[in-house]
Amino acid sequence: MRSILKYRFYLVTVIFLGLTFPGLKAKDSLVNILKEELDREVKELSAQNPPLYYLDYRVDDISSYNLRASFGSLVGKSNSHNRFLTVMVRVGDYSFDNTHELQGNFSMSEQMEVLASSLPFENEPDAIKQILWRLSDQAYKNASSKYTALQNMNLPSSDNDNIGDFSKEEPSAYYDPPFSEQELAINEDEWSKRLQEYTSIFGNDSLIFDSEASLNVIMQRNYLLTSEGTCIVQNLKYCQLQFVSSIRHISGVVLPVQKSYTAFQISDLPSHETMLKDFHQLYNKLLTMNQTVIAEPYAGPAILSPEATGVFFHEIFGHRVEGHRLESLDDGQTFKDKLGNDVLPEEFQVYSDPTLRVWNSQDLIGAYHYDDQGINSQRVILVKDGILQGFLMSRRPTQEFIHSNGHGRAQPGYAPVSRQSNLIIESSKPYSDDELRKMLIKECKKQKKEYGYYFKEVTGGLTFTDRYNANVFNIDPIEVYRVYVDGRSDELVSGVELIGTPLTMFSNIIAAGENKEVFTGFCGAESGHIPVTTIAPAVLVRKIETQKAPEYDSQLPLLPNPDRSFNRK
Amino acid sequence: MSYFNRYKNIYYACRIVLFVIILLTPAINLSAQSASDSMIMNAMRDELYRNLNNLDANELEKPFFIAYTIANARQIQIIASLGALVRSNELSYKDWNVRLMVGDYEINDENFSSSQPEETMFRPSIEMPVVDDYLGIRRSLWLTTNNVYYSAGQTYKNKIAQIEHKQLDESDLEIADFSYAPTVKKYIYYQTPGYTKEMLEKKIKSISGIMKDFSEIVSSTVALSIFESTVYFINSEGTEVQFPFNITTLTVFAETLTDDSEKLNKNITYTVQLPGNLPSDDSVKTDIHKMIENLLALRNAERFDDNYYGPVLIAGEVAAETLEKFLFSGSDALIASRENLQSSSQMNMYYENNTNAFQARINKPIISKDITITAEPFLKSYRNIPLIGAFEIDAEGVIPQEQMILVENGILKTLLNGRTPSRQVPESNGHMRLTYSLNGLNKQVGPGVIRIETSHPVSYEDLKKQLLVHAREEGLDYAMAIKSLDVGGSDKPFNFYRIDVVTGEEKLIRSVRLKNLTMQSLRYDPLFTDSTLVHNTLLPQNGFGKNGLTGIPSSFIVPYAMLLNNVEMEGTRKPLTSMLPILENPVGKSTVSSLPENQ
Repeated sequence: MRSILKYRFYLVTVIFLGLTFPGLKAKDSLVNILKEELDREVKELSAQNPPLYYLDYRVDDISSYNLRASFGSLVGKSNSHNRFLTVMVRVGDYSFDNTHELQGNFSMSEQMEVLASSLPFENEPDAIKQILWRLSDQAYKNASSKYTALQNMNLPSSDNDNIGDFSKEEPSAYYDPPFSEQELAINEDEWSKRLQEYTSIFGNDSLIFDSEASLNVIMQRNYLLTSEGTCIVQNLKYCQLQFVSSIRHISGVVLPVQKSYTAFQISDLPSHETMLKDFHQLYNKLLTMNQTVIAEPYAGPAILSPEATGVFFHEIFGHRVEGHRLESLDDGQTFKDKLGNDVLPEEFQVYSDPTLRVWNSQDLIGAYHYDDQGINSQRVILVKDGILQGFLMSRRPTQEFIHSNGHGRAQPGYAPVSRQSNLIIESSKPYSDDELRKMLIKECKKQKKEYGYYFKEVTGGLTFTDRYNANVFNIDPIEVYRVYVDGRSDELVSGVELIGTPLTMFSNIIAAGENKEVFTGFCGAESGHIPVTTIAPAVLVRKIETQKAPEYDSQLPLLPNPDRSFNRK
Repeated sequence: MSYFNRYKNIYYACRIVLFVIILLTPAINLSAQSASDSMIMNAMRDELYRNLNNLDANELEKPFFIAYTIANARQIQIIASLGALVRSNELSYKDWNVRLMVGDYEINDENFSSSQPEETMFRPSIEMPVVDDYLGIRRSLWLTTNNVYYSAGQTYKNKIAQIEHKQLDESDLEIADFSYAPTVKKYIYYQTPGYTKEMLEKKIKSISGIMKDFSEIVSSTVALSIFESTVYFINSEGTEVQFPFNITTLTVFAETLTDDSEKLNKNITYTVQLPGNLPSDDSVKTDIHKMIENLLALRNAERFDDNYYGPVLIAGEVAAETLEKFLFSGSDALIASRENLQSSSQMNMYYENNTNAFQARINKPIISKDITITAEPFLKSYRNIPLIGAFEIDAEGVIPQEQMILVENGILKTLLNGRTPSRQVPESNGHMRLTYSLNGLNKQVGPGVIRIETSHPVSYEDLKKQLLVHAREEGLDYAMAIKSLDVGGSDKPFNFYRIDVVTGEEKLIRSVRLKNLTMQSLRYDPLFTDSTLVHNTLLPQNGFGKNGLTGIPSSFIVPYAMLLNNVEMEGTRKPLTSMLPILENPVGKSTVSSLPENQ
């Protein structure tokens, strides 16, 4: 199962309070420590039987800072600094190694071959090298044992036999300087007050169940050293303000709303005034949600907003053009044989561009200089004029593409596989919002529908790509409107989930809008959670299908909030 | 019905915690009630009475009892290896607990397990503020109380329905659900010691750095865990108490490998209340040297490949741990338990298999007639050693007796209990303890300070002589001993020794496993020494899974050594595959400077 979520599940919890991130400076003797041990390991282990032919050390040095407020009170404040080591060993050679995939392993072969551990965040050579040594030794033993077993298996011959297990690539070198003092500074008092003010807005109504705002600042310095000579040190910093709230619908069902802001630098987040205005609007919107219609299942025309389109393409298309899936005998391989074929209307262009750091003044956290296998990030054209052109490639080769295009990505502790970055969808024949709306109404009339749907805001989605589950996707909207053909005002509805299967949905896309927007999220799949974005226009779809969303019945507290008088009972 | 809450900001577990410190501040500073103390108590009081007086759902009975507990807590965790920090975290938060009962003292919603379907209604809750915030605290208590009320009210309704339909055993209704307790007002003020995380980091790094001297050690850590809190408790009977609850553990861990690929590891844990109570750096370093010398000796020790059945001498901390495990762990322990009323026969079967066998043995012999066991919760130190289990008031606001005999000359007299009556112990004796866990604080009936004595003590030399006599009588060539290493700390490494029955010569051996050491061993004429030791430890929650890092702070004053009979031991299996590293340990061989090189 793969999913994209606007709100991240944190792997690491916090701790420690302060105004700056301690320990993030002065840390690059680490490169020398890693290199010295890597060289020693490679020299000895490549002389073993079976020989090691590839070793890499990935170190993710992550500092995170978190502030949380709820209904005007500060409820969490923490700060942490951790280093994670991920060791990958390959035994055999590029054509056949210990990661060779067997049917039934669900594309997890590589995940079984990495070992991970916490690493000291101070550059004490002995302390770091001892852990590198222990993990390298264990990883080599695991890999050689697996490789020996694979060699002695009577493997069925397949098309994959001549592809190889790991692509040969040129080594890379890249170095970002350490974070500066200025980048480390956070005005804790200011942000505490801001979060408290935003969340206090939502304390004025007894039907609003929760109101939590959190500020997360992540500063990540990633090191990759490989036995092939690659040495990459690159920084990633991003800040997110996330807000969740929910209201009790008159039926008792709980209806959530969410909002988030993302930027590379905390100073680039929207101003206090802008956010305050947004939260007041969100509060007013939330109040209107409690009397909306809970929608029944529906099949018919719909417009997906730019945000919804982004999640839609990420799930139904993006995950299915991740190259490593195409050779997996367990995967549905939806687009494997579609290279050069029409997959979308001819005006559609789709590409993945991790080199794009800013679009329309918005920071894109799916950007990176080098992927987690040390390959330079590249813009990859996936669909040109509606025709499928390529796939997202890691160093796991496929029949058609034997080299990586810089999309091997992973969360610390996981082996990289091909993953998405910034997924961009464009149309060479865009329509204005009004035109799309008219086309929607026309399509509704054609299908004799009283109304179509407009999916305005979504929180995320999920999909399955393997052969053992139905290849469906599911998108979770939080703001959905009925657009009536008779000219009535649009009607906000609740309790809807957008569902479907990929090829049918793709074949039903009619047109795209002219205004594109960014959706920022964290995508979870077999190599863990990674930051991604989509940039997409609205699309008109001939037929979508909805199902009822899970309902959580609720009951109001018996007593009023101790500190506020309610305007509703 | 009780509800403990603590949101996400929990450190993730540092499995191995060590300790250190020193020169830090004085232990507990007594001071007057602060503005923060007053604010928290006022918020608790105001919300408690608002709820007690007004909670009334049409279909449910009103609550008759409400109690709130708030722990204003600070946690520090520091881990270092070979002189470098691996983790250093500090977190402040408030943990809170709401107990609310519907019904009355005789029959209420507690002590009842129903197989009936439960409602799945979403009820919101709000996290407790990290700073002093009167309204924020009340908001959290408000919603949690509301949720606990609905749950308790519904449970009570189900329970009464089961009783009315005679689906419950009437004899079970003879025991009240909740016991009365005197109203108490007691405030023990506490001022935070003045150490900083940075001071502690320096200590831990320094201690962990000495492992660099030993290339045979393949893995090592030093971990410090500090939990420092002020606990506020209030109930609707008028009891209001405030007291500090502090736990500090320092754990040193080291591992090596033998030439035949066996992993050997040892750890020492120091468990005290505050960092200032830890031994000096030098003492800890001396202990580490001893532990490593022991590990190195074990590498060359002979593997045990026999099966042994006979007398065993157990000496030092391991003797205390053995007694602690016999008497206060597992389902059969000197702790009262209340079997829940069951609404189905299937559930009855489950609970019958999990009842405490001691419950039915009050006033009957349970162990050797030489043994007497006493609870002495007020005893703060013994021979100048601070006792971490000492307490003046329990987690339900009950003041315990200064001294209470649990076992007298082998006869079971009573069991530790809180306010939930058991058939044999109908009232609280003030032993509802706070339990420290990685998820925050919990409550559980358990020991504070326990003294175990024998009426016929012998000297250590005589105990050893008796060991050899018993072994010879059983026709054995050798006897076995288990002895703790002579180091500081509360949980210490121990070793197995084979003792020649003729010469008395002791030989260190490795790869030994105990097979059948149970409470029954205390019935077969055990012998104890006249010398005693103090064992401070964290008794695991529910008696299982001891890790030395979490549990009920407990202290045991026990004989230094004991001789048990009919104990079985066997050798452990050899590793099937080689664990020996292919390359040699890189420690001490680096050419890279540890100095930063930013440019």
